[in-house]
Amino acid sequence: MIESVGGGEIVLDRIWLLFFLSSVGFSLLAGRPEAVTFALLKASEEAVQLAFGLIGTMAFWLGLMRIAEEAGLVRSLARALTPAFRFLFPSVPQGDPAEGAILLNIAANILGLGNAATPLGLKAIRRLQELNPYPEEATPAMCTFLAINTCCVTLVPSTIIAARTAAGSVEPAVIVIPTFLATLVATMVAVVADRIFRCRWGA
Amino acid sequence: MAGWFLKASNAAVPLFVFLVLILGWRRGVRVYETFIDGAKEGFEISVRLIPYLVGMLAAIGALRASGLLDFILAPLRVPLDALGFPVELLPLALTRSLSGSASFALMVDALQAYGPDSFLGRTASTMQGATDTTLYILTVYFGSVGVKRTRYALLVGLLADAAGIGTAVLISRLVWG
Repeated sequence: MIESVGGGEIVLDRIWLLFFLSSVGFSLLAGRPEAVTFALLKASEEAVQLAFGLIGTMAFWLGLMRIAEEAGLVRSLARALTPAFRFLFPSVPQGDPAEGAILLNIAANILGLGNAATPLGLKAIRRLQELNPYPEEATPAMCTFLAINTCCVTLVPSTIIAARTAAGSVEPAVIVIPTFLATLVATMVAVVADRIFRCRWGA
Repeated sequence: MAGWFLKASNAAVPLFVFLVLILGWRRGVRVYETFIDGAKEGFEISVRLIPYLVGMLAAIGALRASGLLDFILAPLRVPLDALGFPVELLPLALTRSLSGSASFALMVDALQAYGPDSFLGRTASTMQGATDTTLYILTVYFGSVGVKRTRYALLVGLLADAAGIGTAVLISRLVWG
């Protein structure tokens, strides 16, 4: 989740520009430019306060998750997910290095370890590319892998819990089960849609 | 149903902490040292977030203060209400697939504006967690190996995002609505 800080956001560039230009334009038309001045200063100040409020809870969660990682929780979970692998990726040969990387990536994502998941995912797609007969075109296995990655079941939404704690929530974790269910539905839709498109497209 | 949900969700964190520590201890991890290592990373991430938060909160702050946000959202209120979708969270829902840091900032904005324990605050949190940033993931992964024709991958990712966000709203309505 948090690994998406920075990079790859071209569309956002235009949206951000539009936000500012239209806000200033509209406030001038509506005759209240001073409201925008005030909002800009207040928002900038608030942003820093918020980030500082985040430091403590974020440090705690990532500290705890590092223990989970060192204890081999990612590896255990990856092993538990192995049966699903053959169903999801029939085109990847049994025992291929891609299998380990993909399973570890998915396990890290489930545990909310975005920073551990990304390098594993990059390793997985590099191996999938080696298996690809047409290097410029995505293979069905790549599409399935990314379909799962773009939503991914999440058991521990740590950054969100941290942000809620920082905002003064008395029940920061009430969202854990709803979030888990929503990601479960999203992932099921992704897997089913991927299957349907794979057949339609003619792999 | 709501009571059960609350209890189970609230117990999830202490139980998880307990489990991780027991597991670390049993597997011979030097727990304190490892914790500090991870905590350092948490510190860095929070500090690295500051510029993104400033940029997005200033943009959405200007949009709201100028009156333009209300002006755009007001006509959408009735049709979205009919669907049960909270109009206040439309910007968050639309940004979710584009940028993780932008939607994170919008979620934080919702937590500030409506309170983290309000219906809107909880729904915003669930929405943010419901899916990952499709555009970013496709760009990074396909970009890293030079795949140019991505076939149906974007379509599948966006469909899953819509399903995740829709489910987030539905569950929030059922549990907290």
